[in-house]
Amino acid sequence: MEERPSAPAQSVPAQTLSARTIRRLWLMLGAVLAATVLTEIWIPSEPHFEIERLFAFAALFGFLACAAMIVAATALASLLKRPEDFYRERGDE
Amino acid sequence: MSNVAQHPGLLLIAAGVLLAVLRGRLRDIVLLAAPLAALALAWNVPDGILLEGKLLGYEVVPFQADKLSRLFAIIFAIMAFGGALFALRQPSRLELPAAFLYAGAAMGVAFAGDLLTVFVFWELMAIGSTLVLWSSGSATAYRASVRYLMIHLLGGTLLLVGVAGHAAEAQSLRFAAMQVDSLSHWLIFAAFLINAGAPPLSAWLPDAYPESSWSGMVFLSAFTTKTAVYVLLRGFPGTEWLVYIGMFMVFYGIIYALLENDMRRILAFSIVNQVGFMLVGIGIGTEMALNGAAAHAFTHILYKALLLMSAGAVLYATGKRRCTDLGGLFRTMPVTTACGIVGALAISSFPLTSGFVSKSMVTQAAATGHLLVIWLLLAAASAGVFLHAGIKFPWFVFFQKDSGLRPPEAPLNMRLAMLLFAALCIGLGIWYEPLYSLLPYPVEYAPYTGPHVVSQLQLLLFSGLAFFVMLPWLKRTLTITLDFDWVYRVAGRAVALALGRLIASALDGLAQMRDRICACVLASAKRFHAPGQILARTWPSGDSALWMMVMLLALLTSGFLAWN
Repeated sequence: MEERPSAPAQSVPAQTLSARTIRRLWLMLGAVLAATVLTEIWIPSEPHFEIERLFAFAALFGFLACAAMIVAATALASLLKRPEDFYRERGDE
Repeated sequence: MSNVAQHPGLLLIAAGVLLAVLRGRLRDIVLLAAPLAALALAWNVPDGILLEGKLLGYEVVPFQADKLSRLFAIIFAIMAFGGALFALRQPSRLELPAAFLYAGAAMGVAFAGDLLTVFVFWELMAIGSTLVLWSSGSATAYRASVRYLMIHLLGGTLLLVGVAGHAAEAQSLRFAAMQVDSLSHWLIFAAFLINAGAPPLSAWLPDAYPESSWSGMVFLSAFTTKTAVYVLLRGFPGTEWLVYIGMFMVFYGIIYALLENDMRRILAFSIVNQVGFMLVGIGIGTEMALNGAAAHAFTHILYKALLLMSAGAVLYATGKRRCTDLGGLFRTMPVTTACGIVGALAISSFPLTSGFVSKSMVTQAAATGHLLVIWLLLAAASAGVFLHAGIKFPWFVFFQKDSGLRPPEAPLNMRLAMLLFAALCIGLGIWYEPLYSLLPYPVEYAPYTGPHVVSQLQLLLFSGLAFFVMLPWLKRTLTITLDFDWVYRVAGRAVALALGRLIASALDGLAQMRDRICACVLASAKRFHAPGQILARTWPSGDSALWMMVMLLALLTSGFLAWN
């Protein structure tokens, strides 16, 4: 299943980010998100449909659609998830 | 016949044959020069019929060009060059000749003016791509390639039967727009859809492609599905079925990619997802939508190849494919990481990338046509693309938790190939006019308006927020997700084995019956014919004379009675 690497990848003890860096990254993400929403005040949307007149419609829709897809995927996984060697155990692989 | 020499596809196929025997520097030169020559030919090929003839009373046009075929041929040539540059160090003697056959055959389809030529190059593509899979050399790749080949030969058979039916009905083999109004057209439609990765047989794609070598999947991602998009664009524009089929593929790709642990299988599901967008555009069928589908096929080939090059570079350097084994590679593979991110942004249609200027044409076509539900679904799907390919792929491979792996950066030729495609992804996102001028219909669309950019950024960045908020839900596990291939890998196999057992026991029963009949015949023969039995004894000749006298007497008596 796995390719032979050209040179074996060197392995070292894993590094982790400090809690402070993670908090900073979240703050940065929050600032960027706020900026994209606030920009709509100066550049109002040009709606093709009524629903787009809602302020920050794209932001809300994007978040909710993704959350729904993740939930749907998790629900489907409970039915269709199998161990990696599922097919190998059945003699096919 | 001199036009044959101008066919860029045949040039690539010839170069593939040459590559099979060349070695060393000469091989490298042919490897890089042939796709560039093919690109020049494709660029300069004039409109109209370039080669025609008669076959079995039908007019065949093996070489014909217009804007649509030129667009696809150009991107196929660019792809062949980028793939060749990336695969320069590929030690397999089979992979690159096979890949050139594959790319040349895809161009052959793009320049085919009749359905028989489409069929011939269609089958050559199946052979070329199967050989690319075989060249990977592993047992799992071989088995996956056999499943892959079976599906594609099925598609080829459907196509041939459909073409034969079409020829009988229409008395012509010319490849023009059709309706799904007869059995033969449905068969052709189904054959095209199989190669597009449409349901229910879409599993061939995520099953087979990730088993190819580190460079093989870069080629595989480009030609089969996009040739299918091309033939659907030419053969079935405006077919409403494509909207529903495409929409299913879009969400199937997202959901399965979200559950996947293998980095290249994530990208394979994402191919199905992206082809879904193109099919929706073809199904909507307006000039804007068809332009959008064609442009999206063009840009998709570039950014998907770029994503698979970055994944291939990781596989080459670490030998690992699972997200659970990877992470933190940005430390030692910065160029690969940066190029992977550019590909991820382009596939997500971020402003200033190629995906933004192509996919938004399809969405805009849905809006212009007042198709609210389709427009909403496409917007949700655009967010979903960022979720599964835009963030998930780079996050789990290059960032997330540190895996402790410190692989070396990809070799120079791979870096150059990635940088070239990354430059094209960003370049086309900024200077999109050259791409728009290649599209089949005149373009009256300006992708960069303030509101469009703002709403797209909101949509994408908030799906990014959803990803990080719900990250625990997306934690990767050592699992696969069952797909339709379960039907032929488990259920079909079980049915075949059970049928085999049934036939074996039936044959067994027949053999027993035969034995019993033989024994019976033998026993009765023995009873009468064995030494000392009634028919094997010696009888005195007097007995015979007596019996003959008795019979003569009976004859005379009966004759006398009859006479009176």
